[in-house]
Amino acid sequence: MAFEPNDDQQAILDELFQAVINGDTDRCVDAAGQSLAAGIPPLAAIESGLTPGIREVGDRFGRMEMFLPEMVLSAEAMQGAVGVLEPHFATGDSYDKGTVILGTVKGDIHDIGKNIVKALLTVNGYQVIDLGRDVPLTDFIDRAEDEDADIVAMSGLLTTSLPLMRDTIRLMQDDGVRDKYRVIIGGGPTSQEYADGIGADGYANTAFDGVELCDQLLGIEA
Amino acid sequence: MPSSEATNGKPHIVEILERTQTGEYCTAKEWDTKRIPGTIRRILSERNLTGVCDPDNPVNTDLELADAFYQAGYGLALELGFLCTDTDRIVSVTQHELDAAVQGAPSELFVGEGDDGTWLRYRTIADPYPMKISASLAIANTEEVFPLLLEGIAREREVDLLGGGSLITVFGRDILSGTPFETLAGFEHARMHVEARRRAGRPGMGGINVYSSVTEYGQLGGYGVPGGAPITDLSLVLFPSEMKIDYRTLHKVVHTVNVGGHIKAASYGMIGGMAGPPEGAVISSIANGLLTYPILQNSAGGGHIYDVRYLANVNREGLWALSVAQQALSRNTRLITDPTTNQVSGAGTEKLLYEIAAGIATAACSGVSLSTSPRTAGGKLTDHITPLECRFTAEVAHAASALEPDAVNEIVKELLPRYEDTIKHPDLGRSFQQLYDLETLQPIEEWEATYRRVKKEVIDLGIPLAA
Ligand code: B12
Repeated sequence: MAFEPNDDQQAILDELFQAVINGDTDRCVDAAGQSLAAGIPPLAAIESGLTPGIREVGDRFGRMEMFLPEMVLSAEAMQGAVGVLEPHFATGDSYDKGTVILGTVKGDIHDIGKNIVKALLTVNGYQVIDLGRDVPLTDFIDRAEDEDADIVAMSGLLTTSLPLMRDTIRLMQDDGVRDKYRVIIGGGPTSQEYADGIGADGYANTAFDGVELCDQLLGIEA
Repeated sequence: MPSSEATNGKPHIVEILERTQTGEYCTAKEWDTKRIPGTIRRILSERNLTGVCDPDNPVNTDLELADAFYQAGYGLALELGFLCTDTDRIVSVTQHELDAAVQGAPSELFVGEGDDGTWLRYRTIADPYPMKISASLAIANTEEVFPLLLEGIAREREVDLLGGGSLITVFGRDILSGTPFETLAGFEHARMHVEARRRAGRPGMGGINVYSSVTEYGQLGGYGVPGGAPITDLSLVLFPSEMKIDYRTLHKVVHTVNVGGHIKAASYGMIGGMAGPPEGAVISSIANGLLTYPILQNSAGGGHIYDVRYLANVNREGLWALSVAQQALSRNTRLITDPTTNQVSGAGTEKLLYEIAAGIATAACSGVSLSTSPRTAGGKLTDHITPLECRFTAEVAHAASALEPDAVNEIVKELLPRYEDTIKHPDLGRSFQQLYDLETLQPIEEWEATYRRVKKEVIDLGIPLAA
């Protein structure tokens, strides 16, 4: 049953919404505490306060009205609030869409595209483990195993590093873990054909398409 | 023991290496998500520089504003320094060290040898001494095309320095970055680069090397070694945005110092990246440019701008930021600067030529010494570049140099409507193989005709190219 807030509760939800947009972690964490005190179910605080806020942030970024640093702050504010709410979840509650292991492949230090992918996946409800740039292929697999990840996402902008995407997938096959994860790729010289050729599960041209791709692969309705 | 004393206050390279071990601790995450955006945001707001970008006037004409940006960028350089991501240590410099290195940097530099060589000079705004062109940026090439393309570019007499192309295979094998394949590719790249200049009849032409050096290995294999690129070429040292260096960067620096070459170090201020808005990218770009002199022993470079939202800098905000960053450096230092211009349309299209005219005229009138350009098709597609647009780039550079910013602003305002509707989804054009006769190294008639038509349009708009 949908949660029907009273006026006081609505004011707190509005505060959560606004604090996320402003990227203000302190305010957001505060409002999360207030929402618990006011008896708002934690999942409702997320779904009716934080999520619409972070969606708005993603939209503004898409319309170029907001820049990456602000989006990162908003994602952090949201994560701060979720940290307060999560311990109070009812059994069976979950808000995470899934865990994504993300990195730029070995030899490659181009990381701006990857950072945008990370920010957009985070604001869209994914838990993203960022391995950074110049990531050895074994790290993708080890971390996916450690974190029980759903998706392994590789970024690469250099033709001289692309073969490492192929090798990562081969190594996963040899390790017998390939079927446990969805593997997606992106970045300059990659393409759908390349993804098909190396046996990846998906390719996306932009970070926005990357979010849709993850949703689609995990069977999540947008 | 030889001395590792600072020269006239500029830190010795070993002192810089030491700071990568002993500087303040900071993680890359903290740097990227807090220090860089937080400090930039604060400096912009303290100095009332937030929101001053004027997309309707893409070439800035308020030179005092450029000076204010210089001061902001200078402050940022002193406050932050560079983060060394291999050690998570901040390499910072004192005001005295920064000033000494910037003031002691060359204001003129001869690149190449003898009559074929070129003087790069510090330029004032609208300086009649022409902005020089190194063509092109590191577009990926097959091994078949690479030597032909380089020879074709070197044959273009207007092009001052030979730049780009980067190999995707060596002796037919994939080059894996950071492996001996790359060391081999670095040497092969440099060898073919030198050979192309000789075949074009310009053996002393200067160059920039080694674009195929993804890590340090290509540079170690190809620069300043017998049979590779001579030390009269500039040594390319690119480092990650925003304001981050690593041991790869420093390996290239140390190697260049060891062999006695000159460094061309650069990194972008990224609009839409962690620097945020155009104003943030301008101060980041000024700061990173200044810091390359004390930290990376730089001889030429500074003031690069790239807009990650468009994969270009020939959009309105990109041009504005480029003009301000370069005016700032030109009015407040005597450095040799070298920003790139980044186009998105492909070879064979008229839009590419409009994009080149806008980007290059903006740079040329803003006091830039050298521009490495063009980046045909955004650098996205293998072999999608031809010598003809390199010729056009150099022609515009030489002809537009003495124009005043307000004149160029009006010209660019005429040019933008001719291409800006497709910046996001450009026509990527055709490849070198499709647009050139590979035997004669001449363009096909259709591409040549497009070039002649746009050239005439650009002359009519007020850039005095030789007809
Ligand atoms: C900025 C830049 C740099 C910066 C990097 C700064 C940084 N911190 O990232 C610096 C100056 C350091 C640099 C260095 C080099 N570069 Co560089 N660089 C670029 C440039 C101009 C832009 C890249 C960028 O940031 N784009 C902006 C982002 C937002 O776009 P994006 O990465 O494509 O990401 C988007 C999508 O692709 C997608 N996406 C990205 N990853 C993923 C992952 C997944 C899973 C998904 C779903 C989606 C996705 O989402 C993003 C947002 O929509 C490109 C040109 C280009 N057209 O890409 C060259 C380019 C990539 N570089 C190139 C080269 C050659 C180099 C050097 C080797 C040059 C040299 N000799 O030093 C070095 C290599 C360094 C290294 N070891 O990696 C070449 C590569 C050619 C090739 N052979 O493949 C390019 C293509 C330039 C060219 N040809 O004109 N470079």
